[in-house]
Amino acid sequence: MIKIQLVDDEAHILKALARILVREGYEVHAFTDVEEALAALGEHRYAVMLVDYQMPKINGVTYLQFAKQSQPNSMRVVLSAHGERQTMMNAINRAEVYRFISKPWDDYEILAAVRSGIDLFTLRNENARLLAEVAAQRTRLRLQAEELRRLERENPGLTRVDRDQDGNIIVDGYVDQAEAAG
Amino acid sequence: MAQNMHMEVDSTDSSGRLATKSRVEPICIITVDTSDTVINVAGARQAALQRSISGTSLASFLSASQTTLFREAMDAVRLYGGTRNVRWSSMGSAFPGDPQISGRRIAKILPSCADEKSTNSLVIVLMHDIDESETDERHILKHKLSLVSDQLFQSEKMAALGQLAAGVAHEINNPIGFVFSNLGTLAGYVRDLTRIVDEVDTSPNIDRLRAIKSTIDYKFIREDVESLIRESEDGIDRITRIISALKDFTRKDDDVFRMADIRRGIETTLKVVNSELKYKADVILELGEIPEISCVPSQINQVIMNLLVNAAQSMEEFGKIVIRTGSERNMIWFEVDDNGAGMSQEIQSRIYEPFFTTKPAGKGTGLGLAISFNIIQKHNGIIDLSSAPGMGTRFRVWLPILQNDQTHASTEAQPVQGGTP
Repeated sequence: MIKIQLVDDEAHILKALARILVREGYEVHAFTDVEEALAALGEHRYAVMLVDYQMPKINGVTYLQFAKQSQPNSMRVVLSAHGERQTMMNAINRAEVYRFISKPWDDYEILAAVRSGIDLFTLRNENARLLAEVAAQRTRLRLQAEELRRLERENPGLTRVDRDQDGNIIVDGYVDQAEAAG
Repeated sequence: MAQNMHMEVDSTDSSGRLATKSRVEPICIITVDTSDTVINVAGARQAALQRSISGTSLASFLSASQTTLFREAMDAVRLYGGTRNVRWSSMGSAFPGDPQISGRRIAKILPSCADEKSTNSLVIVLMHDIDESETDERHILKHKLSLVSDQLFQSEKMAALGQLAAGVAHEINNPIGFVFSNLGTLAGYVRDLTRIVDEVDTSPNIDRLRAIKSTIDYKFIREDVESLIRESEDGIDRITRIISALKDFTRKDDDVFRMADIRRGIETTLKVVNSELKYKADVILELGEIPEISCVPSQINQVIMNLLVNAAQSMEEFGKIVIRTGSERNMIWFEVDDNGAGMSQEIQSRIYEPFFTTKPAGKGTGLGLAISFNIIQKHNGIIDLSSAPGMGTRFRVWLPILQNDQTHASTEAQPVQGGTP
């Protein structure tokens, strides 16, 4: 199941966001406390993290910088009541956020950001999985090729197949009985 | 006559109070006959003046009220002898050949002894009253100063409001955010429920209703709808409170002293600056019992706000701000005590200077404390502080419960100077 992490010091906001996201069938983990949210990063893999900018102790961008280190593939979204330029620049440059949504938000905005975030997240994961598969297959192929070379070294010609004009396989030291008799 | 010859006269001003000796500069000496016609002009620096008033009547170069003033004085001299001083201002009246358009004048009227044939002719010495004209200038400057300080006051208020606006936007956008979102969710719930209710009339049997009900998560909706409404009401309530606090805060009762409870001002101000404070420090209220005091509440709120915002901005990490109130004899006090960065002695001595700020460019106007100092002075109060680097800062404001002279507070602001530790 797709997991989404919400962090905001305001419980009512978490409830409102959870209402629209749970309805979509996502598993929502909501935190008012940044430290608990950080701890949860060790236990769950989140597709999307939706984090408030202004919070006590540390701000949302700093939180997402931490989160990026532990779950680089997660899609990071900042929710902010401040449209300050510096805030946005920090969000983009430091936390490499996927979306910056201002409060008050439009539910559709949140859903669109989360959905496309999840698409990108699954796409990236799929991409990573396929890359890993290709790499694994390459490794297997390389090992097989090495094995063949070893056999060839020990028994020269073992891995080669010679054919005559008719396409018959020539086996050294083998004399066809019928031909010999004829 | 020497260019800057000065003489001194004892003068009695119109209110009858003996004024201090004025420094005067003669303009000219004129002799008038009984019909108030100028028969001789002496010592005029400007030949033009001499020409233009010789042979004319006093009324031709003095205004009607000035002429009356002169006539009264001259009659008195004629009747009782001695001398009389007449003060008048040339403001609004043209004085021929007089380079100085405005300014105060003084005239000394004395009997003419030289003229034996007509003892009733008088000598009038016309003089500039330099002190008076200087006072005029000072008056104008003072007026200008008070205008500028009014403007300063206003601009600080606007700047403070600008800073507030960002904080208030945050405070309001949060509840608007979730209330709006909740309404959207509620609309969905209502749509689900009306689907069932609409079916009640047309449905052949209860099973059909049950079937529809089973398609929606009724149990969840039932539980959630109550908290959804409660939370939304809470949000709207918060917005209302912020707006009314903001109204309280910026009320246009400027310069009107009325009885008010400072504790209410503290609470109002806290609501307004809450967003600025809550991410920087815990605010602890230790408000002791205090009587209402005579003050301009919006101005005192501004002082409280400046002190609170300064305290919050001095926080290097999440800290603590304690607000206390108390009273002693005929004064009350309130203080803002923080455990922020604190200030060196050097900074402390400059904090009330206009435009002095320790904050990065764009963060502070450097006017907050200067204006606060001004406001407290207008209230006949005192502000003191104790602070040391790393030890936090405590500002305490003392205000009298009653103002002795209520009009006093609306006099122009004094220029702000140095600290008063």
